[in-house]
Amino acid sequence: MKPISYEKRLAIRLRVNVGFMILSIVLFAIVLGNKNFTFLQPMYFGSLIGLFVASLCLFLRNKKLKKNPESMNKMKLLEADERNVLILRVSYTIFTYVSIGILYVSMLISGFFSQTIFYTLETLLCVNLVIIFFIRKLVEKMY
Amino acid sequence: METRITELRRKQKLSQEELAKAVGVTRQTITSLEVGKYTASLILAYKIASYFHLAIEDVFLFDEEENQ
Repeated sequence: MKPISYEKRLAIRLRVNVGFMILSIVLFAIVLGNKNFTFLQPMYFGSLIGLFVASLCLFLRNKKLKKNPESMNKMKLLEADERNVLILRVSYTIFTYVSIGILYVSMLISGFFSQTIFYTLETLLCVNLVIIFFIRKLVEKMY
Repeated sequence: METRITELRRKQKLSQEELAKAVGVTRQTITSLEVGKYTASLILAYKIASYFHLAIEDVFLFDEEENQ
């Protein structure tokens, strides 16, 4: 993979932030106009407001970084620092294993109460494992 | 991995922050390298060795037994 400059990366992030803000507004309007899933509406509202606020915060932070070269260089150093990158990679790997473990235990426990939840969690677990397998194969090709 | 970074840094009266800035990493990375908690990548090892005008093996002391 070709490395891209931090300035370009920031510009891409800003566009992604704006994209997510627009997406959350559009979805919010759809949920607001739909009367069929009233029971799920509060959950959708909460997550869409969360998505909008998170995107807005990241947008403002990235905009501020772009304007201030000193802060941008500091952030660039923090993100590119090889020890930080290693910490992030190890954390994600541990998180993946823990999540899979929690999903597996939840699946076993749910079996005592509901067959539907059991099969849903089982499917989720299988999908996760298949995704991990394919991502690994993809990354192997990259290096 | 054991390194001579602390010794070389002190000889040149250089702070961890200054060395970190010169080789493009955080101060915490230099601390971890000095205490042997973290092993530098080849690129970082090269940058640090070049900074002190030394060869990589003069700064980073590779112990074959330890790495087996």
